[in-house]
Amino acid sequence: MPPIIHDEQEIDKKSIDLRLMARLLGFLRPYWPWAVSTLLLILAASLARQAGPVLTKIAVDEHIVPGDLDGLGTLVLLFAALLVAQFAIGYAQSWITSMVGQWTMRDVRLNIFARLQSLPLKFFDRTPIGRLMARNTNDVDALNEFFTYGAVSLVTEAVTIASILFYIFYYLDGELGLLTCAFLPVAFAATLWLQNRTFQAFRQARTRFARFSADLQETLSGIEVVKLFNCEPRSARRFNHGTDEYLDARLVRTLYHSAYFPFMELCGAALMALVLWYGVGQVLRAEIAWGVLVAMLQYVPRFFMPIRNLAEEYATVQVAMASSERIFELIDAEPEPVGGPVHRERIAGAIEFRHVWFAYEGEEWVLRDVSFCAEPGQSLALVGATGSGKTTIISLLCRFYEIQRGQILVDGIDIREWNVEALRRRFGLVQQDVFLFAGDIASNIRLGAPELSDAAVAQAARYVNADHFIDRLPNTYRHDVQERGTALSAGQRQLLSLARALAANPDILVLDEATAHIDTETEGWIQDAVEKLMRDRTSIVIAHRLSTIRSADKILVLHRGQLREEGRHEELLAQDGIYARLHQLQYNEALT
Amino acid sequence: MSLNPFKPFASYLRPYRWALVIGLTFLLGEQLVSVSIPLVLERAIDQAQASLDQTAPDLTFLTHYAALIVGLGLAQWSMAFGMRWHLASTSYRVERDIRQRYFAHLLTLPIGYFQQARTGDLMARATNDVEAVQRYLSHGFRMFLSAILGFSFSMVAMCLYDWELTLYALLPMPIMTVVLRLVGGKVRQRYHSVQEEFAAISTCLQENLSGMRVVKAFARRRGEIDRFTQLNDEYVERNRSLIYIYSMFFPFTFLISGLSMVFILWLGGIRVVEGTLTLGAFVAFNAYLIRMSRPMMMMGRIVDEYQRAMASMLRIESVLKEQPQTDQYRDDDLAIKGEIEFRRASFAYNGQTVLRNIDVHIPAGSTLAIVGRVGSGKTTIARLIPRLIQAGEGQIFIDGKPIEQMPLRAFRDAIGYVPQDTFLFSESIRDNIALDSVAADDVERAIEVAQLAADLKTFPQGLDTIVGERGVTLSGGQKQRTALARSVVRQPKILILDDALASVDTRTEEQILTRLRDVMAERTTILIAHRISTVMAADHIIVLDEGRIVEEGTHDELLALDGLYADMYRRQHLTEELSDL
Repeated sequence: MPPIIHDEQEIDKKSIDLRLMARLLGFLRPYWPWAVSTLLLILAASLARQAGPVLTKIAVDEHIVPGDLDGLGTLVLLFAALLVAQFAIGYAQSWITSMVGQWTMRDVRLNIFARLQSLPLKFFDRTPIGRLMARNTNDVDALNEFFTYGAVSLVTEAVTIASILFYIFYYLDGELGLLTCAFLPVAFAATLWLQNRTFQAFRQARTRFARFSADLQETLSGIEVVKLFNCEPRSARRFNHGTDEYLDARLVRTLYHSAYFPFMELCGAALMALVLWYGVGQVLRAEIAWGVLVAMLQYVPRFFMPIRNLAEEYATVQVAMASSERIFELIDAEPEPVGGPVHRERIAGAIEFRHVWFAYEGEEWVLRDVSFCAEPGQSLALVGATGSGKTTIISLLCRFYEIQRGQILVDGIDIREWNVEALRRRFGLVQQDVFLFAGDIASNIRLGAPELSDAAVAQAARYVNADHFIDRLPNTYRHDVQERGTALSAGQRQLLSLARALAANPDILVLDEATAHIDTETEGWIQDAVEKLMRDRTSIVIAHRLSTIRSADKILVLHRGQLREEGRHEELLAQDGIYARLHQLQYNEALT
Repeated sequence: MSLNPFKPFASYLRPYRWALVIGLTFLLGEQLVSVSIPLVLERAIDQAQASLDQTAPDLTFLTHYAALIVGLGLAQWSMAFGMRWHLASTSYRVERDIRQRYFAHLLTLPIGYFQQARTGDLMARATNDVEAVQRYLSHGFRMFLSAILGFSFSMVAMCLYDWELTLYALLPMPIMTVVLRLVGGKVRQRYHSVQEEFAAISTCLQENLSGMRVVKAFARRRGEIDRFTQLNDEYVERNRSLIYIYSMFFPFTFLISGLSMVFILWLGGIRVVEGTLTLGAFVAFNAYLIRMSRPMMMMGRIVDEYQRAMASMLRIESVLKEQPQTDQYRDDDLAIKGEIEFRRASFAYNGQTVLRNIDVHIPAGSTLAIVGRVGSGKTTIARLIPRLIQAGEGQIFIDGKPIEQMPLRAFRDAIGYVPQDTFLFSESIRDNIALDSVAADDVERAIEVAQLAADLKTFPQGLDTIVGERGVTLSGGQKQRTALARSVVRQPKILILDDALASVDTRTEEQILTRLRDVMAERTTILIAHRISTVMAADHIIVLDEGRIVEEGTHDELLALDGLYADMYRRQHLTEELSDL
């Protein structure tokens, strides 16, 4: 698993944000019957668990002190039955709670994932993958903690306190109950004091942790510089300083925790002393029975546990709040437009750019006033130096980005009026660096057409000459593309991606030819495949092969974001302009 | 658990042995005090019961006992405080020490180690694993000792009242231990399978994000969501099987400890009626049982924490056992002239030959330029010199001495290697150049050479501008020039520029090279570049192709040869023409 580098925004919310909480609880809506039953079961389990001392009281008062053993057996059996009941109820409750947590977390993850699928590419250009991964793992985990432990334990502990008080007031003695209640403010005051004192240190510890881990990661990725400049001592000094600071923040928290947690036991001892002092007097004055005192003494240690548990869970809740904020930020991000109503199964394949201007950022124009068109079935070759805007044209055609000025038309219809997915389905995109998904060869070919039969997959592969290498693989079409040792070569990956594009049966082929060095045999197959694919449909190709350019109906020469020359190979060579020079530069090698 | 739960951590704990001894003493004291509180209860109740028969009972003893309990409570609090503070703070200090030792050790490892180790993995050891050890030392360990002491003290106290009743009361406990052990193994198994599925989810996500362009181009949104949903459903399923067991833990431990209470109520009740047990002792018994049940409930977690800590410690130790790069040739005032010679040097990586039989001699103070296509082996030559990678022994010589016999630190001090991919720390530009070891004046001079001064004026804090994610993002050219300044400022005997000015525009590059010539006079320089204009003036130029030297000579000689170099030169010319169009 990747390391956890929290790109921690500081957690400055001191209290729990109610709006955030409400939104979080919204995830529970589909499971509300389960959530409600959890609450009921918590109540039932807690009542069953805390009934023991009351039974002891009855036993003491009706059997043990009077010396009458008749019926004690029944009482004991009842006690045992209650224990079994709490086991059953508690088991069910814990099971349901955990499952609701799992379901909810699955929904949150799916929500994030679905949202990610609909975000524009622009978003991914500027957000590191690691950060998005952290949303879906660490932050969702923090939420899970919150749902299965944090929130539940807040409820459980509160219910436990309530049911203990209920038993004391109802079955034991009101005055002793009041005495117990008197300790509640003390305990809560201590808890608040702890939170106030440690919150700062808690926050500090988290930021300092993030800082020294970032430091560590930096040293590891820059280890060559560290070694070359002999600055190991310097790195060590920085790291040691960071970890020392982290230690300081942790120690502050520890100091308060060391005081707080045993303090709850001191409260217990004090209450016990009071109960003893006052209760025995009451017994002697015959105001209460022995059993009441015995039961009270059993409740006292049980009473303070929930309070200290609450203090422990509070931190979980705070972390979850910070996480949920980040998750919602992602879920609320603006999705890419779904486009207009135009939706066609097949298209003719006419493409037109009309005075298109485009910039990724502000006014730094990558394309200026670009106009061209392709008739259905024509093939266009894009030529130009690196950075001239070739790839951008392809991206715009697939509507990965929105243009600032002008118009792009497919079959005479502005692409903004097309449904984005329907439009993209009509394109067969072959990228320069072929991206293969985990899985076998067949599933990678099937990417754009999941319903395709094995025979059709093989046919597509054969058409683009990919069958030559696939048939030689140990498991042919079932070969795992990520298997170590038999990694596919650059040429094989290209053939695979041509097959993938063809399998989706596109009307327009969009091809970014790879520049990688490819062995002659494979190179021949690729050339042949590309020519075949271009022949049958409209195609727009960023060409690196001379053969591709020569067979193109039209060559578009881009230079610094502008369309400078246009025509067929021979015509352009004769012009002795940009193309002629580019040709010498880039395709010389193919000539020799 | 081994007999001595301290053992794997002993060497880290030694410096804190006194804090540990104090903490453990407090722990013992705290347990003794807390075991005595039920005794007081017993006395108080029995005495009260006895006074029931008196007509006018004197109740001052109640006040005494109550005060005694409060006093014991206070004592327990202060001892628990001392115990927790000493043990927990020790654990945090040990955590820091392990982390720092780990980091210090990493720094001594040879570069080859980092090329094969995964950063994420090394990071995880320094964070999650160290934390697992800390958690055990502060929590698991304390709970373990408290449980053992609390359990045995309570048992002794109970036996003093009635050993037979104690036996009955403890009867259900072994059942718990056995069941928890049995279930524990299953939990680990299922937990493992849950983790595996989680890894699958992460992989799927990572893949989806990296392949987003393809996902969009093929309109795969639905399909991807389906795939992700499937994995998540499977994850929930696997969790379900874990939850079946997991949900049992707390209710089960409560059931078992409750059964002890049932025995006490039943058999103890009978004994009180029979008169063999006092009511006070009955109350005390109940109090002890409550005290004993808590550590029992924690036992599962303690074992779990211990196992995790052990596994983590092993992972940390495995890095600490890696052999550091030792340098037997210590010589801090190494004075090298800067003559470099490659004698039939070859280098292979992953079974693929990258360089073969390179023969080249670079006299001290001269300039060698290396040109060639991407992947022809230029960078490999550059990286061999500061020993970022190693060729076979006796293939590279510095001042006539095999490079392996150079004292590494001092040798690297004498080399300025500026790689193509610039790495800057997220610190100020000044710190990035000086790296804490250079005078301010020198930094200024290096900035002049690297033509950084004008850029710095546009930054709000000039030299003190922080770079990187938390600060200003530098352009590729600015980064390269900063890296250049970092090397130049150290006045190395050998300067290697590995395509280090690729992102700098041609005019600035020319200015930098002119300045460098003054600074680098008398120093050996190796220039790797794509632009012929950069290498033209070099004393000697070699042309690499597929790991071999295919042409060499001066600029004019190579042009006359009319081979690869001449071809590159013509192309360069065309490119320049193009950019003017």
